[in-house]
Amino acid sequence: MPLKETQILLARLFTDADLRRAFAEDPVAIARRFGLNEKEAREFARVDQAALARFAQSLLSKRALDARKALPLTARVLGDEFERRFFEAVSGPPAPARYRADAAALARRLAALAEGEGAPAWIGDLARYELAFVAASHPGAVCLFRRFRYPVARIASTLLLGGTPDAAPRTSVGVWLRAPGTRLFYRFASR
Amino acid sequence: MDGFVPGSALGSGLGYRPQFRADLFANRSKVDFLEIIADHYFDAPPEKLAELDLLAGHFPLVPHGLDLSIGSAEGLDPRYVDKFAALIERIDPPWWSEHLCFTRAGGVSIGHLAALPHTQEAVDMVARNVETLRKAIKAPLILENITAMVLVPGAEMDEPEFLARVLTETGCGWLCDAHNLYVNAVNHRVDLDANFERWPWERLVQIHYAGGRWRRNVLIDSHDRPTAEPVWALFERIVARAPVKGAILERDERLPPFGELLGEVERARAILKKCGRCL
Repeated sequence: MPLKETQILLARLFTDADLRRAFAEDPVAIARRFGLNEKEAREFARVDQAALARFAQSLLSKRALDARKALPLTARVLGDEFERRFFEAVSGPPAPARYRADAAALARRLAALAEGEGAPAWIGDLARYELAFVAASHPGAVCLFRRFRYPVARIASTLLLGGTPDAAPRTSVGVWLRAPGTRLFYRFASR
Repeated sequence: MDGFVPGSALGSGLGYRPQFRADLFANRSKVDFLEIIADHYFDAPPEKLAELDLLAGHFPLVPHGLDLSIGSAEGLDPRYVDKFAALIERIDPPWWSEHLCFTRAGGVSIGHLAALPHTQEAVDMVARNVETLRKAIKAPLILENITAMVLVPGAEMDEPEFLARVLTETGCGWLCDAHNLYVNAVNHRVDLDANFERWPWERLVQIHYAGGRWRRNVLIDSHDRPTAEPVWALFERIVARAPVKGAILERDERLPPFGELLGEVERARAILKKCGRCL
């Protein structure tokens, strides 16, 4: 089987649930679509589809794990709910700069949660706060300004000290600055 | 030229994780060298590069890449190669390592290590990519065997022969991940004892070891558990068989108290000494 076409087909099967479903129904046709000839497609069709599904699931779990590392306080607050929320937020193959893209998708999803949807009201702010540090972690110039509905820096400090935040809404702002080649500067203020 | 690794053995070390930095420095004398995840230092902010320089000032470092995709039929990403070359220039390691796999194809980033088909075409492609690499990076490269959850149909050879051919045609050394060998043997019902001598032990430079877990009757290379006794037995058999230069505990997740990690590093060191390696 031609290596290039086989790798392209595998990469799509690993990351595209819709394609996997289509492949399960007619593997030879899907393989032909990706440039394999009839004989090669019949050979490729012998791939273990259960193993394909397991590998695909492991990739999603790995993305969730990477998102946990990018948003550790958010992950701690959500606990066992983190993966469910993550899988609700992301779909399709990983985007370029996937760590940031996946974490951003989750932060957007959490920010859109209605009050009482099984997570603290400030969870979206916390995710956006942590995401700002991710966005600032490169050597070039950084100038980020974020506005939050809650005193998110205090919430994060409380969590880091092992406490349980009990925060009322209070507008706060954060700024992240870096001149190229220098260390990151960040400050927060609330009303 | 045989692309093997000159110089002395490094001993028993750890895959570096920032979470245990303080403990690591408090126990410097118990860790012979560190393996760093190369990708964590690409396009890194000054704080992260300061950490790299701190580590390099106190430990021999070996960079281990994740996303080179050395088996990619579309060739290497020149920007990734440049970043790796810059890192190697900065820390001057005795060798560096990557995985015998592909991680992207057709514009899709898989997000993890995918097994190559065991074909001569794949061997030739890896050889071409390594030849390209050697123009940018002169430090010796060693290649790691990975777990294969999905076996690509149409194999022309089995894993030991595929690895041996790749290492012969590239001139690279071998980073033997003992846990990955074990995982593939368990999941694909391969008799490791029967084919032990067919692996390219003469190419061995470094060993990885770690623990995995079972999920729905499949052993996963999760690197999130202590090393299991069958893997320790395999580790000892490998070390007795081949002149390994370094062993790394590759614990990635669910990090235990640092003393437990040091316990495994010390057990590996004891085995190395017993077999007359890394003295």
